[in-house]
Amino acid sequence: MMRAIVLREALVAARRPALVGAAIVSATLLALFPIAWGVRGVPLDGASLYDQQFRLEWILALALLPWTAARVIATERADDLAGLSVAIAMPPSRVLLARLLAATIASVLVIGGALPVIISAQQMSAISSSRVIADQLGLLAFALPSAVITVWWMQLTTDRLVGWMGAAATTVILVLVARLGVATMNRAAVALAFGGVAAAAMLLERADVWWRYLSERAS
Amino acid sequence: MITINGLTKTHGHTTPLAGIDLSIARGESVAVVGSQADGRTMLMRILATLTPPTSGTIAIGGLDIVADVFRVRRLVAYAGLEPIHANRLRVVEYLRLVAGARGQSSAGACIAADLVGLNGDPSIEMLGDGLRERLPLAAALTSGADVILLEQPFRALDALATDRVCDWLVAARARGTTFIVADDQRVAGLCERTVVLRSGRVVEPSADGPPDRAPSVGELVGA
Repeated sequence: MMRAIVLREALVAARRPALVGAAIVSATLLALFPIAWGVRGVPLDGASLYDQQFRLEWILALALLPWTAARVIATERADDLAGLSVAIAMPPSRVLLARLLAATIASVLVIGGALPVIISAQQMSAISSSRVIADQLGLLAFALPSAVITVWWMQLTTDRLVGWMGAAATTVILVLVARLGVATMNRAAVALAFGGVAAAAMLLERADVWWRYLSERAS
Repeated sequence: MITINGLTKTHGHTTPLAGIDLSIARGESVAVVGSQADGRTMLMRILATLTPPTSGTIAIGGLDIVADVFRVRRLVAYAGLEPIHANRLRVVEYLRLVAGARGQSSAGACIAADLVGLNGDPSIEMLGDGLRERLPLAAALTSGADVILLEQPFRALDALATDRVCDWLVAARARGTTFIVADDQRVAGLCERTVVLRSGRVVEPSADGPPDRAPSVGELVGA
């Protein structure tokens, strides 16, 4: 039965052009980086092309992952979520769990779309494969908290633009805070992933209370 | 199947439902007649678990409607006036979602779409208002629920679709499905019993007698 709602959320996400658009934008900007700056990259520090491109990948992820999630997830919130729960006889928490899965998978696909460009940079910079794998796993782990934050925001507002900006700002702040506490971005991503799991659990637990019924205004 | 004792609902300074007592047996069909101001819609929404009662108790299939709200939802399907979010889904995909989430065969989705006169292929967004209003009814028909709550179910249907839906409801009742139809006017012939609401109270429960065939549109609307 859970399969039906997961399938529906996946279908909704797949039908929105934002997913493909975000993957293309991410991969294109990363590919344009060496074209614009040459293989030595931005002459700010002694970092390799890969290091600089990995930084750019993170910056893009901070903006694009919340945007993708905000654009692709289904639109029911609050009263509409209660209505959907009645129609499909499923608690709102199940609907949101499926939505979190869809948003996370969409974010993972955006990150995955840039992988060929990242591998090219690795080859040009003679960086070990194990490091690239670790970096990309860290980024993939970040897809979860990013999706959770966006789904939270999209429950607070009907406007996708406001939801995206709120989610992006929250994500940036949390990444900066996490980065202060740990040595590397990968560790920060893992810490954020644990935080994302906790935030998701809280959202799912509260969903069955907050959106169990229509609001007094709607009823 | 449904037992309502001392149901009240207050909403701000108004009291849409002021003490309802009602018992509905399994396989019974009941018409609830009255305007929205008389509490008709509120009663349906409470039975559908869209809004909780202020006081009183309601049991559906032996389950308390407040304490076991999510289990009750599996027993109840509601076709109301609330809009359905399209989310770029096609008609048949939405109906398959309802059927699949409720553990029903997805084949019922196409049958329900046909019953209400909907083509399953177009996107929900492409439907006009009239056709889109048929979607909650099709979803209720495909749900496989034991109790079907229909709020003005025929308002968006043409004559042929109305007859098909009535045939389906009569057959479902014979299989033990309970249904409650709420409308502005009497839905004669379709329901065994009529409950008239005035100012949030039941003023006229009556037994109309079960029909042995599906009523025609003329019978439904003419009473």
